[in-house]
Amino acid sequence: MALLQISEPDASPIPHQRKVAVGIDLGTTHSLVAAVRHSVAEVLPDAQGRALMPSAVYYHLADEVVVGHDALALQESKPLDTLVSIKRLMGKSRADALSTGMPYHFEDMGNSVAIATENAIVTPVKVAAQILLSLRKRAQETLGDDLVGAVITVPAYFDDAQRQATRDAARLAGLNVLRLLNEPTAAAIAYGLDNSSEGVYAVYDLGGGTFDLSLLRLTQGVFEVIATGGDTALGGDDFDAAIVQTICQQAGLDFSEQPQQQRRLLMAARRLREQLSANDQASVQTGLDDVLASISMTRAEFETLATPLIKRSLSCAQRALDDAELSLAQVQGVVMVGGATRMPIVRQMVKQFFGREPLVNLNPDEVVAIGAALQANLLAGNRHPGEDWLLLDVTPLSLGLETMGGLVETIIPRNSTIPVARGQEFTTYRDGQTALAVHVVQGERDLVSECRSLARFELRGIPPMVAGAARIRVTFQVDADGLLNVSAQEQASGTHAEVTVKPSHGLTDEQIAKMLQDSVAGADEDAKLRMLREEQVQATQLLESITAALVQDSNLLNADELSQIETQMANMRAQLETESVDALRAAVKSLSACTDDFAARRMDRSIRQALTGRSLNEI
Amino acid sequence: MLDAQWKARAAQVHPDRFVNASAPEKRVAMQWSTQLNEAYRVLRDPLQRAKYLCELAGQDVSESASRTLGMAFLSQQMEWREELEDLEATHDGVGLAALLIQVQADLARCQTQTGQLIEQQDWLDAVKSLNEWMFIEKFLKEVQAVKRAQAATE
Repeated sequence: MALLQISEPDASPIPHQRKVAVGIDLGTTHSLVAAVRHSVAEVLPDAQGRALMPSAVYYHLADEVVVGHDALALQESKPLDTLVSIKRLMGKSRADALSTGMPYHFEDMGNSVAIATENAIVTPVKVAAQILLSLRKRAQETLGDDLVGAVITVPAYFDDAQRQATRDAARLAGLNVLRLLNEPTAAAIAYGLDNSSEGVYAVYDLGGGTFDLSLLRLTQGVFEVIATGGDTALGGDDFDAAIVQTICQQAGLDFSEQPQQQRRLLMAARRLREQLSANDQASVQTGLDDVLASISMTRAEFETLATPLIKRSLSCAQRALDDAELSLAQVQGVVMVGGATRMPIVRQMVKQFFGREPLVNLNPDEVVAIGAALQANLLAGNRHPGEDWLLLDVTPLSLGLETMGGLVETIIPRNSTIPVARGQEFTTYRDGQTALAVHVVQGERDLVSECRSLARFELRGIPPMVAGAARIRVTFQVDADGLLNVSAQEQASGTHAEVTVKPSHGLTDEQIAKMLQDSVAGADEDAKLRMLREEQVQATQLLESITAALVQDSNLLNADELSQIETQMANMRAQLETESVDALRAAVKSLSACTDDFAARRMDRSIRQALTGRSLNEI
Repeated sequence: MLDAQWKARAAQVHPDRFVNASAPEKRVAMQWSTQLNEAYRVLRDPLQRAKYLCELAGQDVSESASRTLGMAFLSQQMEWREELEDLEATHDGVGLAALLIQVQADLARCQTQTGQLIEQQDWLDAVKSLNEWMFIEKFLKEVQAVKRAQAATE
């Protein structure tokens, strides 16, 4: 594929110094880690050669866990204490958790849900961190290097709270998050680079617990997401639940109050479903003794109960097409991602809907992790000459504010290319009003009650004025990770009022800080050493990038500024020798601060060079 | 052209290019990318683009400034609206399709006219034409909505 030649504003890496970065697919049922080795992206297997790690965690003690296959083995005997499908609880409240029908004992912990197991009370973020930690160790053992960072994938349809929770989990696991990447976009990278494709592609991603559909336009090394749709509560798990429900109904049995039996049935249902992909009829043992020792089903029976679920996914697909103002004929290819797309009925209905045979040549379990590894490698700066691409992703859900009468005023519509910022002016409705409550919501419905509440905050210190005189500008900024920041400012008086956003769900910053502190305090020298290494890597990178910038653009600085930067750089080189984390951190901070203006001027120049001499019509 | 420019510029300033850069560089990259995406959004949509060009010339294009609309234009709008109500009530698909074509043609005429007036820097008439454009576009969306609703019930 003819890849876009892009000038590099950041410093190019020194050829011999490879920076190791990994891609992690944190899945509902399985998680994977992949990396680019010898120019090829590949999944890193564990010591037994297994690529997929079950996303299962069992707590022996509050800080002693079993993760993966070993935890999954405990699932049948300890269904309430072996945590699976935890991804469904990320960024959720207790009320949300209860409505999932999952068997665990849920408790409130601040704004987040916590799960009480026999040995520990844990949050979904902490459990996800254990999975990520386990994958991080696997990567470090395999690659034998320090990781500079990781790209973690999330469902495209994840809302802000779910994304925040995922990033918090990565932080807890000691991973430097280079980027949160949408799963279908990651799959598109893996496919796009493999097949040298151009044109509009649909990625149909049906995983264990989530469904995403993304429409992308591929042109000369640019992956532009045009629209995305999905359902974060639709996946392979739901097909298993449907099987169990149907069979229990037929047998006149109900195990919903018996978690152990229910868990065994669900596990049996998954095996049954997997067998039905290859056979017209299947029967599996449940492990239950008396009443329901085995369950069986024909493929036709299964397909009848699977059809409504698949139709749900296809109506998401239709909406994404409508949003993109595309017809089915304009879609040049359909990529299948996620283990659940192995079901023949899924492939058949997707083929029928799009009117073309879907692409299945890459392993649907691994393709997301492979794409994430490719992106991680790119972001870490290990680009080969001529091998370059750019991702332009979008916001999956509209972001808005509550206005009078519980209605939503949309500020950033869904499918806006990120990063994006948009502001809106509001005013006071009472004389002398000095505060304004701001409620941030996410979703497509007109009523606040039907949208996801993201945050509430109050803007205080508005100078008393007559009603309608104040001008309060609320600004939404969504960054390249898809994460939202909200700020508000009263403009008529020129005073800036500070606001802090308290998340309605998930963990507060203080909770995260405390958890980080606990994990550091509880750990051995290793953790301290790691912090030092990370700080050293960051300091070295900063020095490299400033050195390169000075070679190119030192004429943007006057003599004073230049000498100040050089002094700070010398100071930092000295601190690099001392092995003191705090001193190094301080040096990084002050060097960053004094190059702040320089960075802005350089970017300004590079844009100016690009735009100079062009009339508006040309652009 | 615009699309290619947007992508080429985005490749320069996107935060993905600055993952290993210092915090200030990251912040600047995000601001530039944000601005670039906003510019693309405005320039890609003909109506937004025309509005922006008029605003750039210091004209007020807000809807409250729409008092400049002529009587002939307004009565035409009234007629259309009545026609749409009738067509909706009688489920007249053929008539609706005809109205849609008529409105689309008028929109195209209005777009060309506004473009020419902007080109000639005749700002007063450009803003007037732009206001008509906003009205026609709004009405077009209503016609399309009725058409979709009819298609859905069939």
